[in-house]
Amino acid sequence: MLELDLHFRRPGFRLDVQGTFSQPVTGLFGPSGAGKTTLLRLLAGLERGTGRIALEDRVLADSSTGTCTPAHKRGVGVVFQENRLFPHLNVEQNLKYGARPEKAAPGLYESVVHRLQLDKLLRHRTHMLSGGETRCVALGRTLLTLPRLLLLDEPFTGLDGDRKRRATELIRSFTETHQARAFLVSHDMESILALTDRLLVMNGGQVAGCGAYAGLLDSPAALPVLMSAGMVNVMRMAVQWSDESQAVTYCRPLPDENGCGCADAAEAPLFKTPYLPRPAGTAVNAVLNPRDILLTSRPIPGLEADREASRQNQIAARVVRVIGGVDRVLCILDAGMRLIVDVARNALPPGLEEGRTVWCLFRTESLRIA
Amino acid sequence: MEQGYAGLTPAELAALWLSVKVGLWCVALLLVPGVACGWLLARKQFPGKSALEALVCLPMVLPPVVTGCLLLFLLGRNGVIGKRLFELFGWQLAFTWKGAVLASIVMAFPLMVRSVKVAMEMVDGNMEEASRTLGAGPLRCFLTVTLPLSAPGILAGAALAFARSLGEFGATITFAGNIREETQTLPLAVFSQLQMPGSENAVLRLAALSIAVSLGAIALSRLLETRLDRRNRRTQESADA
Repeated sequence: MLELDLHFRRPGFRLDVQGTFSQPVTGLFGPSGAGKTTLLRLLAGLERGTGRIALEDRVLADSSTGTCTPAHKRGVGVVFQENRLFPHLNVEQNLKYGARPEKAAPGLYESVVHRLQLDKLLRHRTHMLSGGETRCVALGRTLLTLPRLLLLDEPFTGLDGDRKRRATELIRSFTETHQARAFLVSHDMESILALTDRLLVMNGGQVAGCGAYAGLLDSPAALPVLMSAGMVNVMRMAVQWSDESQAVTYCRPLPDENGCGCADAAEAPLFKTPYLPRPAGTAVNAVLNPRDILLTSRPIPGLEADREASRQNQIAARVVRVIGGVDRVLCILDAGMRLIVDVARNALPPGLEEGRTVWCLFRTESLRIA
Repeated sequence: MEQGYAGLTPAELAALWLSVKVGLWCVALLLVPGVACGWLLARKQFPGKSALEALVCLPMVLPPVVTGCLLLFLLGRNGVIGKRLFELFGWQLAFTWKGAVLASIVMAFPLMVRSVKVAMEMVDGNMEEASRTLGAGPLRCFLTVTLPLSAPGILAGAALAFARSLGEFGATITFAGNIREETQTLPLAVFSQLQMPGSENAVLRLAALSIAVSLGAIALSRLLETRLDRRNRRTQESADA
């Protein structure tokens, strides 16, 4: 449990954050200048504010008692946006700078090096690395200090698809095996949602919303911030069965109390995703861009049987909210779980209003498995 | 005239050796306080900081003879502190080669401190922050990040201090005197020879010697710098191989 009641003031800027975080990973989201990096600096002890920070059973800072644990004793690891690798040390020396081999599980160093694909770079000097490699060294260096709270400031910038997947997996398994907590700052909602659906949305130094992604869609303060970033649908699904001849796998959303899955398993629709060679029951994250969904007011009959169109998904949903923009309209639908649809105003089905049932059409390929 | 080594008289050889000895001692004793003071001025805020800075810089703007006089008043046999030191420990600094070292230290201190201060101000504070978040306390952070990153500046400061010590004249002659084979460094030897008529050759020899030692010091500091550079490059090459 991480409890925050933090206040920080500097000319022209004011930050107030209160909240309790019980999930392992929290996504920190907001526009530039929202105070995300300042919040991380306060947590790391690099900046002094007023209020209280309590991590599990330890009080890291409490201005009422004058407690303020210095940065190096906090057990808080930071992956800085600008990496900050030591230029006078090579990759291996950077990785081992704060490593605690006496406390780490045997083989942790080797496993981090291997999983971030740094094996061949250990003797390199840091200025010779590519942007993505530098990012990986910075992440590995911080993980090896075994932080109890991990602060990640845009950790995925400059990473290609494969490295990003590896980094995401490493962060996930690290927080699980070490019971560490993490704050993840990213402008890319998809990379946050690949790790967690718990968000702290900030705007102008204040908390605009805190909670599950799907729930924040109903929050008038958080929604504009989320919309400005381009929203995505992320659904937790379980593999049901696969049809290899059609290269299709059928998945059903998993019940999820946070609203990112379905409320009731029986009501959940069946999705067709690109073929996934995984056993039935495997849980996966499916990502669906809201702009890839078409809305119709009537179902298209015979779509299932139509060989040409059989790779289409057709899902019935009830309209929860319609948020009009200038030329695009954002619809929040209930299809057994929340679904966000972003359509051009002139492509809206006639008579779209709250409470009506519509059908969502999207190609199988639009569902990406993260 | 008695012959010494390489056409130099024993007195000239003694002056050369004494100059180098004083210069090396000066740098060795200056290194730690110079780095500490430079770091203090570059990284810390405290009351009286500008006063300390002015005090450190004072010998640079004061006439060296005045600095030598102040040293005599403070540390001479009958000086405020010097008297106590002699009574308690039997130490005497004035008019010994140790006094020449002390005069050099006082004169070279501002150069060293300024070099270190500039070098440490150039060290990216972000690196120190990173070091702290990786669990390094203030001392470890200083030794593993600040110091190595400012090493070239410290090296340059040491070279400057050595050169300043070789050239030191006013404070040395005032505080340590001009005693042959005890406190007569190269510049003092040149001065003594100039006073004697018909010793132009000796003066020229000593001047050449001074130039040679100074050039040697510059070359040495250059060599150390390129060594640092090359070591870095070699790490890279072995990684590529």
